[in-house]
Amino acid sequence: MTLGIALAILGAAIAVIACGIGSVKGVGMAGEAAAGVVAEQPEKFGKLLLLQALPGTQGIYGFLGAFWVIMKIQLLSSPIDISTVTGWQILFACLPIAITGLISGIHQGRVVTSGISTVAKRGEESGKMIILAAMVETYAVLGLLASILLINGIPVE
Amino acid sequence: MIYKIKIQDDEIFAYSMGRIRALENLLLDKEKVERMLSSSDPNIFTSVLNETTFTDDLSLISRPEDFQKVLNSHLKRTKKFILKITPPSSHKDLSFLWLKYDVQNAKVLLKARLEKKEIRDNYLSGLGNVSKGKLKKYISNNEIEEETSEQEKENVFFKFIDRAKETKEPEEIDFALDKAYFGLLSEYSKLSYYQVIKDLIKIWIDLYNIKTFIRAKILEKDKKFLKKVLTPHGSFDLKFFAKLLSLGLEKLPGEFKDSPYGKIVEETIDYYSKNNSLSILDKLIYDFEMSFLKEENKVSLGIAPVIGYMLAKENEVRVLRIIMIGKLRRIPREEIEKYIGILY
Amino acid sequence: MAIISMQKVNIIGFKEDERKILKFLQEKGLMEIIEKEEALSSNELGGKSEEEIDTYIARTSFALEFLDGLEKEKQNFIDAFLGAKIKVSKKKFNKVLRNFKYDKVLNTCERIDDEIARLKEETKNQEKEKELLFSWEDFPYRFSEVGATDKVALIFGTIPQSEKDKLVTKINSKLPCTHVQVIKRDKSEAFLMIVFLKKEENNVNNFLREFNFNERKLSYDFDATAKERIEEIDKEIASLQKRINSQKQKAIELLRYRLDLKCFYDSLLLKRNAEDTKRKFTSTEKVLLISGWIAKDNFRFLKENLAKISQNTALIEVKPRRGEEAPVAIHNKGIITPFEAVTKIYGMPKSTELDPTPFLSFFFILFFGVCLSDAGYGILLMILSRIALRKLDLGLEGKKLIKLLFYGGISTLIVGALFGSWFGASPDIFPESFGAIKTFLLKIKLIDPVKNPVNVLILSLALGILQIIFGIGVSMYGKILKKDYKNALLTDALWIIFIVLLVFFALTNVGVLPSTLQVTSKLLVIISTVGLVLTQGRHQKNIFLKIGSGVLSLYKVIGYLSDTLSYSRLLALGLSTAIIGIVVNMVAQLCRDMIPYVGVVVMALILIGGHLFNLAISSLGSFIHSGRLQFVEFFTKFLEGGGNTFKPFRRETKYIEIGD
Repeated sequence: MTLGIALAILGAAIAVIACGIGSVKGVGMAGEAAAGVVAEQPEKFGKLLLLQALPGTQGIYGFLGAFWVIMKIQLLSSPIDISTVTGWQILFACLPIAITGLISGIHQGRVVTSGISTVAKRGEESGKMIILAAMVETYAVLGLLASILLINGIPVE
Repeated sequence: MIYKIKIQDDEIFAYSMGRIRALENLLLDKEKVERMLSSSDPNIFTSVLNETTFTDDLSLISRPEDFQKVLNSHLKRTKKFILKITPPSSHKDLSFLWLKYDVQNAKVLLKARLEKKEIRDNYLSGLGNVSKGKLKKYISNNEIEEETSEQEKENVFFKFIDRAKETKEPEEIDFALDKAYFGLLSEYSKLSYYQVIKDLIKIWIDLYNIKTFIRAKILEKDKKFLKKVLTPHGSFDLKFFAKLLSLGLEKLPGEFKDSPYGKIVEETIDYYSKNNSLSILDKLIYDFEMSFLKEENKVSLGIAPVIGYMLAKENEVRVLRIIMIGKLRRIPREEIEKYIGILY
Repeated sequence: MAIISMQKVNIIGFKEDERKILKFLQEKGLMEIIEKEEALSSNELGGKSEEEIDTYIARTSFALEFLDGLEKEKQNFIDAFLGAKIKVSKKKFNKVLRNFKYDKVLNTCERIDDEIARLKEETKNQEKEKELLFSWEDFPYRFSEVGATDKVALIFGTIPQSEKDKLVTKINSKLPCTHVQVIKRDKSEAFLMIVFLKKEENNVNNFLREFNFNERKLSYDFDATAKERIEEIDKEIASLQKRINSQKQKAIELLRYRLDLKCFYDSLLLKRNAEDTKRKFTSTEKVLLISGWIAKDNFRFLKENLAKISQNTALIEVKPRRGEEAPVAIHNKGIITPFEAVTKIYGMPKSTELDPTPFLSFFFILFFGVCLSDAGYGILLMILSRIALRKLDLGLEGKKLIKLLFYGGISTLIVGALFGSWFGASPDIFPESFGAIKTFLLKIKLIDPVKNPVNVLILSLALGILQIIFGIGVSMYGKILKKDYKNALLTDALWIIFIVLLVFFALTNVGVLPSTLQVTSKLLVIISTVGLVLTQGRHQKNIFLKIGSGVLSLYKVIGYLSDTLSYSRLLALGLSTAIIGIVVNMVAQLCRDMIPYVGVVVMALILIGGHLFNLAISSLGSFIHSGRLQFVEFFTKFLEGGGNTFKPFRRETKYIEIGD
């Protein structure tokens, strides 16, 4: 195994960890608020569950980025011996999703938490709150897209 | 790093927020107040309050006249509720909310001590930070029976009590303890991390000063008196007030025009010149406080909604008391309405 | 199709028919009632009955809560999720109300609750007494036997443990006729009984004071020892507990009235709602005026039926006041109906605007398909939504949503087939036994997003440009309908031409179209740019401002560009579904290979669970993001929104759905 592969793995790991932290923060915060509302209004559980799930997608995006790296260097079958430079390239290509995922996850969590407050008062507005939260997610989506396209463009072998 | 810390600090209130936002629906609103005001049946209170968080306390009454009990038990329960839903690390920040009950208890006890009377426990409020027994023991024989985690703040409070013990006039006790109250509040404000607490305490101090000043002005007191009753740490210093002492009453609103309290002063003076009474002032002060809290409550996460909820509950209790007493004394509804003010 | 045209109406009738009219309106739910301008004081409504309703509502809700506390009602998860109501036919509802002796049930509930509270209080008091008695536990005499005599007195009290021995020694040495007995001791204090001669009382008292003795008055005089009394109390507590249980038993018998209580509660709600609505009426002693909005189409129906209630009732068309906006309701036919759910998330359009539902329908469902993009999930979604439609008892809005998911399934199936993704697997790894099906599936597989993301990205952006142009087109259509031909032509048409030319120019530059067209396209773009600069500032008066705002309007291009880029999410979400599917398959396969014997079972579990999870999370994402593209990128081209939703006065209940 070469340093190149190690760097690529580091990139994948950063993507998963950073996005995971973002989602954990976001979903955790939203979950606490949702638990508070459910304690008073159990009938709103369904709506709140949907809202709470929203900041969870960043974690999935990070995982997707990592998976893209895994496929790129065929880590699961016979790893391609990539050079150190290629390794660095892959590591950098992972950064867009890693960073956007981390930060957007936390912020989406905050939007969702506010949204939960609104739903606690006006249950019928949950659809609008979901859309508002999705606005934040856009940037994680773009980060993922950038990472995927970047990794796709890196020549290996 | 700073970024992270900032997020974490209001994040700890996520759960409290969820619960409070859900319960805010059950606070008294215009419609409920209207129903109570327009009804002539005393049982309306029970049926309106059944739609609020008061439900659990209603079992305490058999007649509407037992109302006071319900209100007190409700406030106590709200305090307990708030302490239950907020993270323990924030309790020392929140305890400023209940300081006024300590001061109130201390006043009662100190006055009783002057008159050498025994005070039964149920005359004291159970909402304070210092337990009734501890306060009683301290005031009767300067003993602290057990140390608490808040001992440092309590010691400051006890020092103020010591000072108040030296006075022999009940009125002086009031002044001394009011001063103690605001001194302590500014202590809390200094120690607290939360801006909203600092702001709120500043508003309290300012409003207290303005209120006391206007009273003193109307009673034509002198600068020495002002020095005794006004409290430092606010937006205005003693010099400012002393200067105003020489001005005519009608000039006062102009002097406060640039501060947030301009409207309060103006309306109070206006009302006074028409009715020769200051009864409107308290309502204006409550209104100011409520509008401030309403504005702060718009944050998505943080301690403000928690504080807002407790104070809104106190306001609610005040409103209910006004309506109830008004009804029992058969005061016309227009008159009652005047004192209700803004709801949270 | 589209926005329903509204008519403002007044109903005029006699006060005596008020109840009937209200009931009719509430039942049909066709009219939104406007509050009269000057509110009458509610005293004139004869407040009495209203308060009674309030009291009953509070009492019934208390009773229901009380019963709930005894036994939680069982509800399946989906019903709880949807907040389903109990369906009761109108006939049964009325029958229940007729026969239900609510006062009796409510009173019983309250009585039992009071009784239980009283018994609990009693238990508490007994326990308190027991607690106090504990310090006397070892006192061996009956309390009635203890007392002062002519010569001897006794005193009880506590003393700090450290002082006790000193006191005893001192008393023993100085006052030999005094007896000290320890009744109980704990860590810090000892509880003593001291018997002494009355003539020595002063001496004794002095000693006691010296040693911080704290007197406790003997407050018992019953004919038993403390121990006996404690036993007695225990017995009493047990009997109280029994009585509490028997009360609870009684309450459990009331559980069968739960449905009746719910019906009663809802009937009260309806009544109160009607009472509240009454406040909105303008009425004199005899005459009643109800003002409100109805859909134009319902006019005749309402008029005829109101006439049936009483001949003295009339429905009259009125002209809305200046600046008064009609409430908005939308109605679409057939296949478009479910898409109203999407529009409703955004909110209603203004009454003067177009209903966006039909315009968004195609794109919404297409984008949903591109985001989910797995034929297998498409089939699964179709099946699941079919089942849900059949089995679940959904409201009108819920049905729309599920139907929408069904359409989404179809779209996903088609897109997925074109992308060649079947539960995360491509048809080329299908076993050969599939034969013709495999060849067919391979044949319709046009593009593989995982291998060729750039092509799908281009496709996504192209769809974006298409929808944006379509959006401007809709705006043009709206203006034409309003006969605003000038703006339709000079703003919308010009922009469409400009964007098309811009795309044309870009295509010739990247070599998709022959490069010989480059010069032509460049020229065309320049001409249309000049056209825009000259026309877009036409609202300004000053010539410089005209040109200035014309140039500034070109800034819109940036907006359109960023809108277009936003459509790249279609690729990202499509990829995300596809990759999770692939991962699920891979992990399942690994498990089969690595775990001996039961590997196949584990594989099956992972496949089922993993794909269901992916379906759930990805369809949620697809729905949200497809919706967002409509709201943010598409609606902004032709819609302002912010209309007031039409809220007819109708039955609004909490527990019961009243059928016909």
